[in-house]
This record gives sequence, C-alpha cells and structure tokens, in this order.
Amino acid sequence: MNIRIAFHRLLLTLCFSVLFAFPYCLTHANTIVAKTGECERVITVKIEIYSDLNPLVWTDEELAAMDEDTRKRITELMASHTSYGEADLKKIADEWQAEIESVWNGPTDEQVKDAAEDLGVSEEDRKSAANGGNDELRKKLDERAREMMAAAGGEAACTEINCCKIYFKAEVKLRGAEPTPGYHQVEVMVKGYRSNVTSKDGKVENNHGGTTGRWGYDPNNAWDASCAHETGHLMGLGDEYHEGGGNNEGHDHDVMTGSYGWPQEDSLQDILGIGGAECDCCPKDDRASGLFQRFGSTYRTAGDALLTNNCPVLRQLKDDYEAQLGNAMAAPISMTDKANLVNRIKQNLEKVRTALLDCDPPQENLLLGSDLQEWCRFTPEEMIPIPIPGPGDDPRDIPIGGPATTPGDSDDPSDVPGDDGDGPRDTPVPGDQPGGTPPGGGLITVTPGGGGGDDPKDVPPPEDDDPSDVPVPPIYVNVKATSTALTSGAAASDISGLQIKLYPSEVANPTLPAPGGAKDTDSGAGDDPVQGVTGEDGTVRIAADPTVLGLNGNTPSDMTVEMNIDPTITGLVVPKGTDLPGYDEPDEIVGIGSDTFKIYYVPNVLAETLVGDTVEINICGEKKPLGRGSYSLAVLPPGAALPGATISLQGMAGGAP
Amino acid sequence: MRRALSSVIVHKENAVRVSKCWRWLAGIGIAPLLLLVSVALFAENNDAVPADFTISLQSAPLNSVNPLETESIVVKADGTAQLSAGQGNDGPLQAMQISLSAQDVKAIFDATQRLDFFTLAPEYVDPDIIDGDYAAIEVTANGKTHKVRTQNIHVVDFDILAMTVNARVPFERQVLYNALRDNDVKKVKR
Repeated sequence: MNIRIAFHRLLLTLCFSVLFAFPYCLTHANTIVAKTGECERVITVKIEIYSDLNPLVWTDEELAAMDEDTRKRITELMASHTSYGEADLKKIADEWQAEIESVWNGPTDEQVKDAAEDLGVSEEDRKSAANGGNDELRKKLDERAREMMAAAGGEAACTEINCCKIYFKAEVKLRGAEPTPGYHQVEVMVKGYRSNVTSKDGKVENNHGGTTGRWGYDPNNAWDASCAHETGHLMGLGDEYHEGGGNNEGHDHDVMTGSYGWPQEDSLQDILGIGGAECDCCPKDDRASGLFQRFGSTYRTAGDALLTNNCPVLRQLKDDYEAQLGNAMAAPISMTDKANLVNRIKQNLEKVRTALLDCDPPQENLLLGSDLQEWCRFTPEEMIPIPIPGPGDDPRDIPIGGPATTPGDSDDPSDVPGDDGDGPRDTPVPGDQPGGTPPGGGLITVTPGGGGGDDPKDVPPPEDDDPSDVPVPPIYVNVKATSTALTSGAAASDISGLQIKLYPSEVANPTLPAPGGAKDTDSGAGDDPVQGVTGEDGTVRIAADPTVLGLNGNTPSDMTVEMNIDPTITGLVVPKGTDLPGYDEPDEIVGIGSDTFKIYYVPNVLAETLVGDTVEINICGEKKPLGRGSYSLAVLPPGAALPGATISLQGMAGGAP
Repeated sequence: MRRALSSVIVHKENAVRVSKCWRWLAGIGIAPLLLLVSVALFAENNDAVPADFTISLQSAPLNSVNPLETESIVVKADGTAQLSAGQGNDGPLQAMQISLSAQDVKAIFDATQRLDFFTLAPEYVDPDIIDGDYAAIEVTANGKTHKVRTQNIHVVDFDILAMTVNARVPFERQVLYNALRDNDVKKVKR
C-alpha cells in the first residue's frame, strides 16, 4: 500500500515537473516578446554580464613541449590579460545596452538602402560600411535613414515594420554572486576577443539556444557593433554569413552577416514569430504602389517646370506635392515605403518652393497652355489650357496619373478640373478657360494688367524702377503657327491651341537654368516668357514689353512671328557618342548646358520605338537664338519638336489695336 | 751564472719545442673537430630546414566579411616573414616584412616535426559555439603541404605550433585567436 502511494506521489511529482518545465523550454524566458497593442510589440532581451579572468593555462607537459622563446612569450601573453572591475562593467553594460537598442530600434537594412540612394552612395560603398570598412559612412547612412524616418512620422525609440511599432529593450546589468534566472549570461572578454554565443549544436532557431556568450570589449572603440549581432542570436536569429566566406543572397548589409550592418525586416518578423506575437497591420492592398505611381507621374513635369521656371505649373505642383505629402504621411503603408516616399516628395516640394520664390504672386485666370503630365511635349492636337484650381477645388484633382490613393479621395485621377469629362489631353474647350480662345476663333490678346487671360509677367518693368523712366507702351506680337507637314508633303495648316512662349535672347545658345537655380538675368534668358496660346486659326496676339524683346529705340507697335512646325515629326535627343539605331548623321548637334547632344527628327510613329535609356523625346528642346541682333528672339517651346521649329520676324506692320 | 743562463735558454728552447709540438698536435686534432662541429652546426641551422619550407598562420572572426580583419604570418625557409595589417593598441598596423634568424626558422620547423603536424586532422570545430573565430596553419616541407583549421577549440599541438610562430614576431604582431586566450574553450590534445 505504502509502495503504491509512494509510486503515485512520484508519478504526480514527475507530471508537475514536466508541466512546469515544458513551457519553460518552449518559451525562452530570456527574450520576451510582448503584445502591448494591436499594432505594437515590445521585445525585451535580458543580459547579465560578468568578468572572470581565466586565461588559457598550459600544463607542465605542454610547456615542456615548447622551446624557451615560446614559453617566454606565453608568460607575456598571460600577463597581458586584464579583468574588469565593477565600475568598468557598469560602463560596459550601459554602452552595450545603448548600442543594442540603437541598432535594433534603428533603421532597417531596407530603410538604409533608401537613405543610401538619397545620398548617392553606391552599393559597393554601402557594403563596405556594413562590413566595418568605413565607420564614417556607416554613421552617415544611419543618421540619414533616421532623419528620413523621423520626417515620415517615425519614432526614434522604435522601429516599424508591417505598420507595427516594435520597441526593443535591452536590459543589460551586472551579475551578482549568482546568475539571475531569466537573463542571458555574457562574460566580458579582453580586447581582440572574437565575440560568440554558446548554443546546442550551434543552432539558435526557435530560440532554444544562445543563452550564454563571451563578448570581447575594446575600451578604445566606442562602437563595438558585435554586441548587436550577438544579441540577434540571443533573440533566436541565425547567421547569414558563410563560414567559408560570402553570405546568403540579399544579406550583404544585414547585421546578422557583418556586425556593422542593419537588421532586416524579415529578421524582425522572425523574432516576433519566435515569440509567438506576429504583427501585420498594413492593409492588404498595395497602397504604396499607388502613391509612388502618383509621385512618379509628376516627376517629369516637375523637372521641366523647374528647368524653365514655369511659375503657373510650379504653383500647381506645389499644391499637388503638398497634397501628396499629406496623403503619404497618413497612408497606412510600411515605414520603409513611407520614409522613402515622403523624402522624395519633400525634396521636390522644396525645389518647387524655392523656384517659386522667383515668381510673382499667383494671378487668377492665368492662362496656362499645358498638359500637366507632360506639359512640354509638343502635341498641338492634345494641348489643353488648364485653369488654376479655383476656390473649393480639391488640389488633388490636378490631373496627375496614378490611382486615387487616399481613402475618401474617390476622384478619378484622370479628371481635369472643368473639363468635359474626356481625358486630360482633350482639345481645348472654350468654356474651360477664362480668357481662352474667344468664340469665333480670333486672336488671343494678352493685355498687360488686363482681365481674363492676362499673364502678369508680360507687363512692363515694376514700379520700383527708376522713376525717371518713361513708361514704354506695349507692342503686340502676332504669332502664327502653321504646319507644312514636311514629311507628308501636305499643305500647311494652322495649328490652334499651341502655347507660344517667346524668350528674348541676346547671347548665342544660352544655357538653360538648372532646376531650382537662379535665373540668368545677365543674358535675359531667364526672364519670364511672353506667352499666349494660338486660337483656332493658329494665331495668337501677345502684348509684350518691347524692351523685353530687345526693340529699344526702334519700337514697332506690332509685328508678326511665324512658326513653321511639323507635328508629324518628333525630335529625339541622344547624348553625343551614342548612336541612334538606323540613323547615321544627326539633324543637329546642340549644347544644353555644358553637355552636347544630337538631335534627330523622326516620324512620330517611329519615335516611340526608338526611345530608350539613352534616347529621349526632346520634350523641352533648347533655347535657340535666331541670331537677328537686337530683334532676335529665341523660343523655349513647350513641345518636343520645337527645337527644330523656326521663328522669323515677318514684319512690323500695323499699330496698336 | 752563464751556465745557469744557458740552462734557462735550454729550458726555454725546450719549452718552445714543446709548445710547437702541442700546437702541431692541436692543429691536427682540433681542426677536424672544429670542422666537424661547424659542419654539424651548419647542418643543424640550415640543411635540416627544407628549402621549400613555408608556414602560414592565419586567423579571423568567423563573421568577418571585412578582409582587413584577417591576420596572418607567413614564414619562409630563407627567414622572410610577412606580417599582415592589423589592429594594434595604438591604432592600425601596416603590413610589413621582417627577417627571422636561421635559428628561429629552425625552431619553427622543428616544432612542426616534433608536434607531428602533418598527422593532425584537417579540421577541429566546437559546434556549440556560434561566431567566435578560426585559426589555420598551412605547412609545406619536402614537397608536401598540409593544412589544419581549428574553430573555437583549443587543439594543444596546433596551438603550441601557433605560439612557436607567434614567439618569433613582435608582441603586437602575434596572430591571436580565442583558443589562445580563453581557458574555457573546449580542449583536445590533437
């Protein structure tokens, strides 16, 4: 009876032991993953450190197998070992805690990749930084990635993946007389000691191992990155490097490859998975792609507008970028995407804002003949004047490609404010443009200081000019745009809806202003254009300051500029030194800025097939001075084919209307 | 007085004769002895070390992807020793070449023989250690080459040879690895 009772008690004890021991084995007490919110996790790693001077001891027999010089060197080596006192260990604990939290709460490898692109750091250099070969660059990349995250609303105290905030806490403290249960035990080793952790069969998967370690400490090196790598093991991560050299694909900059790298988002998910607290709060639809697509669709527009300092377009871009920025900040997308997108938008927005400093205050009813997507592509039949959004208009309605990306913004992105429901490249609808082509297709008259359709930049010099100056009356430039359809041989036809911009040029081949750069006030090439949009008969009548046109002292009251263009031809621009397949000699060789390009004129139907990495449609063309002395004009057209267009002064007949 | 003087002279002459005799005898007897000793010493210092003898000692952290973290010493039979760049107490150390004496080269070569290096296993690993470092020694002698790699383990015969090499270079230039510093590392004789 007693034996049976004893047996049952033993069995009961064994069962309880298994019950208590089993969960402990499965859940690793030393690394705790806590779910502190639906989209928030806290990972806590507990580490106790200690110092135990225990250098390698050689036996007498082993020493006897050595020569005298070797024995002497071993004595010196043993004497060089040092142990750390309590004050040292406390300092080390603080340093390691800060470094572990800095790395694991810091930018991910993916975020640093974006920072590297932002800084123009090559893949090779980034790899060198991640391998400890360039501490300065590593620090720079890390800081830039943190800046980008902060700008996107990220917290410095945590990292963020899958729209979840992940807080890493490292509790590093000194060990007492005995190890504290629940803490990883790490022995602090001498400088030069290669840090490691101990685990069953070298495996740390599922967090069954990696509970102890020996980490080297270099008092002269403020940044000892290996502690972050080893902590990765303590949290259950494996190595990503190969012992024979190299590393797993895609892990070149991973902290689990080289100690100086950054945590990868997959690794963070693995840690959450090991702790049984996965987290994914991002919507399943790919909203980031939509936002990036929308941003990308304005990229070329912005570049062109900055290059030509097109103030009306810049104003629209500013509104649009601000709207995009708000959308990106609010969008439930990954922090990596968000930081990258926000950074790009902010950079462009800053450039646009800087460029706008050179613009006059916005005017209402300003005519702008452009297609906002590719405003400088010359497609007369598709040109459409777009009014500045009026009160109540949603700036997000600006016709920019890409899907609607903000919840609640159900507008069709292809919509154009005030359009007739067709695409953004619709033929101009008179009713859409205040001051647009008048019924009957007459000339568009742009009168300084006048009402609808005026360009405020066409007015004479500002009032703060020398008061002794006598106001110069405007002259009127009549521009007629016709096509002689060179390739088809068809009769010339008038082109309506074409934006005409006339730039004075007193120097040959003036360089284009750089994006965001100051205007060239010396040559006059940076002055705002005299502009208008041709009516149905292909003509436009533009009022202009004769001094702007270089007509001082011999001012005609009216003159005609005739443009001869071929809408069936597209200009392609190719860097000099690059061949255009199927074409021998270029039609022109032009200088744009300090670079030289070849211009080919090809039929439109072929142009699209030739466009590639080094062949682009000559969207904006370049300023082409006509070499007519003080009467010379250059055209900075909104069309790609216009570099080949010519403008000639046909006459100066007639008086002011 | 004169007799006495001549007696002294005779003694002196005899002494000279005796002295010459001993010198002659010594010349016959010692010269070959010296020759033998010299030959023996020469043979010991030079001939015993094969002309193709080369030993390289190398170590690096396992998780190092930075080539600069790999430290090495390469000693050749002619005494040239190539020391890799490394990290000293006062900053980076540049790669350099030094000359070892014939006795030093001989001591290293003798250690390879005494420790029977060529019969060591190609690799020793403690599988329970993650990261840490490795050490490798490659010896070429008499047309044969053998390489041994240890990873996070104290292999006594291997480590004695490593310290024999280390003892011949400046202290800061030693190739040290965990097994040479830490008594807690797993230990095997060979």
